[in-house]
Amino acid sequence: MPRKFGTILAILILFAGCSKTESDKTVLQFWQFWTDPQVKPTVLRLIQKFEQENPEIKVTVTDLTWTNGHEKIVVAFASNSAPDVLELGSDWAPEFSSQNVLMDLSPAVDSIKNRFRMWEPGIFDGKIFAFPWMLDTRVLFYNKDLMSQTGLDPKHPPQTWNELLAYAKKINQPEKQIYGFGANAAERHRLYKKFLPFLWGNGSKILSEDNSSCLINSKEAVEALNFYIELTKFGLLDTQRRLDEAFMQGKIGFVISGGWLLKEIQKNNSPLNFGVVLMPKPDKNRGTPASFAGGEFLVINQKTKHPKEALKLVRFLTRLDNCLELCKAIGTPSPSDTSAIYDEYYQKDPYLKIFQEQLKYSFSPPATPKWVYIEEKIERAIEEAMYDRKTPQQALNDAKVEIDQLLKSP
Amino acid sequence: MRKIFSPTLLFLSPWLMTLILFWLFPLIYSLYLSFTDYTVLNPYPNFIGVQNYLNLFSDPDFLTALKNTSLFVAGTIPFTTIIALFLALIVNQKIPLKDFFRAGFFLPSITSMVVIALIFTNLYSKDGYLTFLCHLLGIPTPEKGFLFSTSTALPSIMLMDVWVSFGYYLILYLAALQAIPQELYEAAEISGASFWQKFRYITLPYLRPMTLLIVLLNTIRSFQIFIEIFVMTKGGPLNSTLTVVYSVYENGLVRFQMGYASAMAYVLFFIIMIFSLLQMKVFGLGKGVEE
Repeated sequence: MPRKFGTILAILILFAGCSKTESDKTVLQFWQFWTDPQVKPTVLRLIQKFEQENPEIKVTVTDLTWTNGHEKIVVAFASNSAPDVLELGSDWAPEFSSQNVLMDLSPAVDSIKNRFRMWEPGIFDGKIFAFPWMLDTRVLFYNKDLMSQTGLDPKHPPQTWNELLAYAKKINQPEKQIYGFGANAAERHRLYKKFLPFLWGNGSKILSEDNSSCLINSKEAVEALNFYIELTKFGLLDTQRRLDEAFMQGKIGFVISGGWLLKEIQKNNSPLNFGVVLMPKPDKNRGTPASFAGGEFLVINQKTKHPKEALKLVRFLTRLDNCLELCKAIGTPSPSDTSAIYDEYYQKDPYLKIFQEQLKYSFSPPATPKWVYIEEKIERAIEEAMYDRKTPQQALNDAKVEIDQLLKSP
Repeated sequence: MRKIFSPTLLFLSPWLMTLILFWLFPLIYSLYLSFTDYTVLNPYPNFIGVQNYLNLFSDPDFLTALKNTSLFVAGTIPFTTIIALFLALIVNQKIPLKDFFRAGFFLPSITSMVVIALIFTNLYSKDGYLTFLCHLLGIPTPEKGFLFSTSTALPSIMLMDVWVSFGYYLILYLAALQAIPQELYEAAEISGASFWQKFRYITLPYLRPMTLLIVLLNTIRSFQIFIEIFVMTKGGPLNSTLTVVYSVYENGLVRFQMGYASAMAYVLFFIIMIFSLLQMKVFGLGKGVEE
């Protein structure tokens, strides 16, 4: 019995081997997240175009979902069954880049690096592991009607922290269910994204250049936290989903949100009279209108058997014309290619133009394998200050000590 | 040899395979993992003995989670059980629209928990219906909204949970009530027993096995509270709604500390087991109605 089984197995293996050598095509596995019926056809069309340009390569596309994609990717790497090329969300790019499972792209991209934005999340130990594909960022949405109702000029949305705070104060009328500012509160894995822009805008950083120590209790960071907490007092505290909803219902004056909200408002043909503007700066002639950058990255499995072909696919998908086609199908993101800003699509749309402008001042968290823990400490500090458990200075001091410990531990 | 391939085993095999592959093996494997430092991206776990368990009890977050979970269990089960019993007694009477009420109370049990949690998030929010209602009645509401105040977040979720779950136990009680022989009540009435006496000496003793089942089921379910937390608060604010299963999720699937998460899950398993045994003892397992 076992011998028979062995023979069958051997034959099966033989067949499997044959089928591979029979076709001369190199088969690339590509995992991606675009399952939306309006976007998927564009992805497939691009892949088809790639196969026409490179007749020796065949690409097999597998779809993942945002709900369980991360777990699937982790398990795939753990079990050595990861695909050749895969898409990663910007939250995950640092995590995987620091885990020694991705191919080092530095030699291939060094010469073209300057043409693209947002390499930071994929840089670890001075090497580049993730190629930025499509970028997204958060801007300040404002309700024009609420502004004019309170005597503010909707043509002059807030540009500085003080203006935003003063306007939010003016608009805020909780007894009428009208709120000045939509603030995230106590929402894990999201709260930090709303605070960090103010920290970056004020010229502070989370970690030192070499990721060896934490700078989060700097004077600038404390100022930023003080401001954020002051701002939350004149607004609605809720989850991002509820904030977006309330903004669409016209209940919120200002909210920080991303392309998804713009798309949602346009999809529902909402009569909402709104505008978007760059994030506010700390002061007229100080700081930057910094924001949180998100987006998609393409990475190559370190263990791929076809590094050359995989790189070809990554370069093809990030090429300006291809990437633009995909971005237009999706709606709001922008290609990582810096010259995308000159495309009519972004120049003619008053909203997307602001998003493009905002991208210039957008940052992402540092790439370190400990980020998920650091993020938690930062969120804890924000919450402790927000709920009056500690002063902002004290909360950030304590966070610094804890994060420094994390960075030192192996 | 022949015995192994007996038809019995063959017919059982689909179920047996499922049991072994998806239940027994993961159960035992996670017990093993709880003694290792296994993280998903590290394929070579080290055996570290009971270190995970020791770390657990010096981890302030886990202790908070344990405390919150216990509060949740202690704060929901009595209410759920008593409300279910009370309403079961009412809808067991000949009242108008009896079937409508029975169906209505049961409805939350067949609605997706995620949907309910999302709707309640809206109800509880600062611009939501509940705040509005409280304003009308002059009841003070938390400044940050029900789910974003450390003192009201967990009670709000508990309240929702009582609302969601009592309907299911009500139906169970109803079944038990209808199994009580009617002759007993008739006999009692002839002897001149009051309503209270009938309830105390006939209804309650007959409901004892069902009460045990209900409290047991509810204890196990409540200790595992997760969906509500995941959808509504993600453990916040300031960990005031952090529960054990949510911690298991955070540690296992966000931080990938599978070994540590497994240890947590096993601690919860033993807690539930001890509670279940205690409850069986208190209610008297297998003991029928006292004659």
